[in-house]
Amino acid sequence: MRQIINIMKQDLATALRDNILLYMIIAPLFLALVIKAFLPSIESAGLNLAVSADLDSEIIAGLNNYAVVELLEDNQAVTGRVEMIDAVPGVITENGQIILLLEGNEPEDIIDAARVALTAVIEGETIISFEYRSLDESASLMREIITLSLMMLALLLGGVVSGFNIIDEKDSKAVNALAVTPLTLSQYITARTVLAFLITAIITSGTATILFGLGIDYLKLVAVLLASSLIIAFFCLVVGGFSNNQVSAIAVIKVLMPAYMVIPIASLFVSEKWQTAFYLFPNYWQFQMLRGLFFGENLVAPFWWSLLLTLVLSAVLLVVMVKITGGRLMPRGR
Amino acid sequence: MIRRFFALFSQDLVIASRNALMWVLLGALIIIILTVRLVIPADFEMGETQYFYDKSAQGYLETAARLEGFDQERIMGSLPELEQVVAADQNSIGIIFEDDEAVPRVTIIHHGAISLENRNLIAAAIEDSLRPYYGFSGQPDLQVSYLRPAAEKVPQNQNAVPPLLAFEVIVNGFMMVAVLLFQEKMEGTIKAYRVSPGGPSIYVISKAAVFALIGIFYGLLMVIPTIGFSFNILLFLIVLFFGSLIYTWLGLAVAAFFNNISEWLFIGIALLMINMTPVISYGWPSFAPRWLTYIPSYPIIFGLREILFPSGRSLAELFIFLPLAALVAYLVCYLVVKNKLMREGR
Repeated sequence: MRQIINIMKQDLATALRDNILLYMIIAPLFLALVIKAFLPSIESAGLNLAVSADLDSEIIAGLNNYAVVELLEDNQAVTGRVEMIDAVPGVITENGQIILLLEGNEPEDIIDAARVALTAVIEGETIISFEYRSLDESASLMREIITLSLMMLALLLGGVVSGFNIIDEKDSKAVNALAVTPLTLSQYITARTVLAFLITAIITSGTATILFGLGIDYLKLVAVLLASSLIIAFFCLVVGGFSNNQVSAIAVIKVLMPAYMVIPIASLFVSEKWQTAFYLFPNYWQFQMLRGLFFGENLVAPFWWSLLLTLVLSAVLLVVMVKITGGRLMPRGR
Repeated sequence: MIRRFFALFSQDLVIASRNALMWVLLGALIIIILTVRLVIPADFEMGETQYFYDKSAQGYLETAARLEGFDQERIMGSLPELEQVVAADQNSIGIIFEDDEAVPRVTIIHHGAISLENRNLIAAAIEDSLRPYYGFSGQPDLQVSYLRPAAEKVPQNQNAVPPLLAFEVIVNGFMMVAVLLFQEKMEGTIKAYRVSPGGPSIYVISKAAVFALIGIFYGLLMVIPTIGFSFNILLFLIVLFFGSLIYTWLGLAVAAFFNNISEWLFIGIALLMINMTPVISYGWPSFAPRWLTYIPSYPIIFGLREILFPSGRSLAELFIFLPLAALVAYLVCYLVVKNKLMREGR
């Protein structure tokens, strides 16, 4: 136990000395703040229209009910706006005729929406009454993808930094010195994982609080962190075990990160019958677990089932990884 | 000076190409090509799925939905059935039509909240389809005018190539130059370079030239198997070249403030993630707040799409932006390298 604590102290001292801990905690939290600030505007993105001030004021007022209207002084200004990179159709008037101005490369749904909005405003009168009923308080798909990606990233970072500590020890040959001490491989991995876990816990809790507020179920969040601990250890082993220097570590991260993030996000776009293709990936269940905690809707499995599967599958993966990387971590691989 | 540049360039090229990253780039390239060609469907739709239930005797909604090309599986036979499919698919809405009273009525069932403007748009779209059945067949006095001929629809799998180029190929230098820099710091190469006659300008140009060359090869190897040769290769190469220069210099300017990759990692990843935000505009083009357009990847990603799938839009702004941004990135990088990197530890 003392040996484990000594390694942790050493890593902590290095992290504090190089400001690594500071960057590690501040960077994801800052990113969470940025996302929190811009998420509402991303989510409510609908139709934008560039409208000429020459149009009848009633038409302009009517268009405000359907789109975010950018009022420009004349037809020429509208044409200039329509030609910009984004997809903003224009509305102008020439000799009393209302014209929907398009650049020609707008997506079909934007063209349809602009035409429909303008038609509705010109027609004025409606013949159908509309009612709206929300089935739940669920968030948009966009919100889920963005916030859960950030949570997944927060859960990844501690393991990656711990992996870099292993590489540093390989580089400086300190690992050879460790190999002749009574420290066993499992103690070495535990020491690395515990510190990574503590750092991950701080980052993840902070990120979750910024993104979802204080109303989250912190008990479940602790359960998520504990269930993710073996995945954190897995990252630490993959980065530290397969890399001999920082360059190869970046190469490993370049493979690891997309696989870790993309697999669960891709599952959101795959129909129910194909979801089984993802069942063997622990990060898929980790993602489901996070969905259960923060969104709690349309889950593949209940929260606690996802948690259990995350734990079991990551344990299997970790055992395999210890077998593969053991000899690479410490010369004797005890 | 030219001889010194080529000596350093060839040395940097050897260092960059002898490590595992080249194998990873090759692996990533193969995965990307296979994904674009075999995994992403050409007609994949990002929009919400609409389900219909027509409760009226006349069946106007059902007829209109069929006329607009919706499959039978989108048309439900009962209200519970509709509620079940909408509940199961978070990215869907259900449309219920009733006409047993004086005024026809539509109920929209959905998930979460929908903004007032988007609610009105959905209502207007449904009303637009149903109006002819109530005798309102005449179209309003509305003319549609195109600045250029309507562009052909780009298959969704090919549409994924510009973001891959912008966020995998072009930004490669941002990360890799940091790795090379930390390796040089660790090995003491920079200290040795300080006393050589090279100077900061050759140092920063050499690094950027290496990643511009890698970016050009990587980009060409990605685009030819996925899209073919049906685009202006010269313009494409210019974007790859300047894009790689910009990101390599920015990467070097940022990395110079850190001592090792562990310190840099979080800031580096955060910056790369912010740099990726224009992909939201790429997927949802109506979302383009002003701040987003200031991120260099914004004009690059849309410029690449225009080059690969020409629609007639002018690229003049992009080709003014690229050299100017490269010049600014070079100056920033040069100043940081000269005043920070080359003076460290003195």
